[in-house]
Amino acid sequence: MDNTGLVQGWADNPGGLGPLYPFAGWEVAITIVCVAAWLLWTIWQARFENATYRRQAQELQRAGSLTRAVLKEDGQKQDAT
Amino acid sequence: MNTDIGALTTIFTEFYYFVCVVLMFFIHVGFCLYEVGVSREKNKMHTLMKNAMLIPLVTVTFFFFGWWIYFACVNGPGITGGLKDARWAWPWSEVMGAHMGGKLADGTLTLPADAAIWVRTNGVFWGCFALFSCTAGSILSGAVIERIRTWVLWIFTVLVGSVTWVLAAAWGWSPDGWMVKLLGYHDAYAAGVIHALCGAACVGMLIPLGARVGRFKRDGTPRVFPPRNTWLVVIGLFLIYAGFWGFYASCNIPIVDVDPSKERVVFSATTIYGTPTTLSAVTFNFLLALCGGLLAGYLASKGDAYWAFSGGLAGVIATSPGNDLYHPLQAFLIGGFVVYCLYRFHYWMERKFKIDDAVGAVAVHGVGGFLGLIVSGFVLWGSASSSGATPRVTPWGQAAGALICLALGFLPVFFLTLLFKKLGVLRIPLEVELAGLDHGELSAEQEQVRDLVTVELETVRQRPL
Repeated sequence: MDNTGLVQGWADNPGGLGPLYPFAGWEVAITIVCVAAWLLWTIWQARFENATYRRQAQELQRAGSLTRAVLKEDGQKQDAT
Repeated sequence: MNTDIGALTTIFTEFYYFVCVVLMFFIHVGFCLYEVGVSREKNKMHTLMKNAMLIPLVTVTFFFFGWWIYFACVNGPGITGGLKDARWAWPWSEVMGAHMGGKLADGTLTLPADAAIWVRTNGVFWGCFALFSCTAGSILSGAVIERIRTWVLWIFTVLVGSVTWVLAAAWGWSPDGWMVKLLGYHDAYAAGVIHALCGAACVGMLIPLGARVGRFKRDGTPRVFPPRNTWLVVIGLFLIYAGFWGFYASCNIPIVDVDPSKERVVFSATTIYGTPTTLSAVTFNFLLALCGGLLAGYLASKGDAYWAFSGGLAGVIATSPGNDLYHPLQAFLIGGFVVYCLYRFHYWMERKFKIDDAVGAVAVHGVGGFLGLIVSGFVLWGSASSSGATPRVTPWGQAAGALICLALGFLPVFFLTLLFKKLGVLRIPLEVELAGLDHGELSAEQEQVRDLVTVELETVRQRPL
């Protein structure tokens, strides 16, 4: 294989040309890969986010942590004012 | 494309939608600024990313299945017929990519009459719809800030942005849609199929999700969470106005021979239903509706900036069903009337049901779109709903269409939200909500700053300045 696209030149009638993108004919396979990527991304995000919240909640439950965090927020507000 | 006028029409249409896509991106800049401005300091980065990342997620899923739903589901399916053949909208169709309109490689694709026009406009037309979809997602995002898990919100944005609003558009925002054919539904600038539907979807999320901690006092009266940055909110709303011009323009087809006899040539812009209108009509009505909404929002809220600017947006939404046909002063009056009503509704809903809608999305989009449709049924009574042989506009046809949009927005989202709640993954943990969604990142950042300061002080000690 010495090329990936159907268009090797522009000398012919441009209006008669079809797909300009490479790997024409592989659209179904590319779609499957992309749908899988989207689903995996969503699953990864859900797991990552749930784990992060779990860890943060545990840390904040330690004595005084939550109070410090909330007071820090108040301090930021005062600074901004 | 074989004649000069054909080529000009095609290239102009292609360029017209291309510009609309660019303009519509301002809606998302506006939504990001607006949400970040409304959120509290401790949540601002998560709020920003929650809104911004829905753009790629909704866009890619709209490519996968949203575009196909719009063309394939005009009959329901099962109401006026089955699924329609819409192979040009399959994500693997060769016209869903760069194409010059020549012979199709698979040789089986059924295209509309003029393949050259379709392959040139498919992408830009798709782009406009994709940005409508992202707008739908953004409407949802604002209502639930500061307590929903981000990945859960993103699933809702895909559900509404790439499925339910598209289904409503297929039914009621297409000349072939069953709501148009059976009810004479007319919604030229998508007040029902996007705004009312998304407002109802917000209610579907907000009821099971609950209010932010501290939002209501023990006696049930609401506490005000003032916007963290009023300027971001106001600039955001102005950018949404700007993007809305693109939204409105892209709801039209810019140049079509509208003479059905074909004995003459009468070029005009049309609505998505193929009914003639003019960009002048859109300009008149958009601006007058904006004015009516701004004035009514200002009056109702006694000069509150947030509600005055939201009122401007809601005025345009409220007149969207008929802005192709209204007189500008009708648009002005309808915009003002609906905004006054929805302002009252927002606070009534808040007091009565303890619903914490952080950005007023239910009122502005849901009530604005719904009431706008109801009013349009009376004002446009007897007008042609589409260019085809469809029933004329009636109050009951518009009301039925509005209720269908509300149901389609509310029901799927409500039941899915209940499911997420049952699984315990709907809301962020209480500790994180109190400390702030950005707590983790801020703590890490402060640790890094402390490290740097320590190193700098050590350097100074070793080598006095």
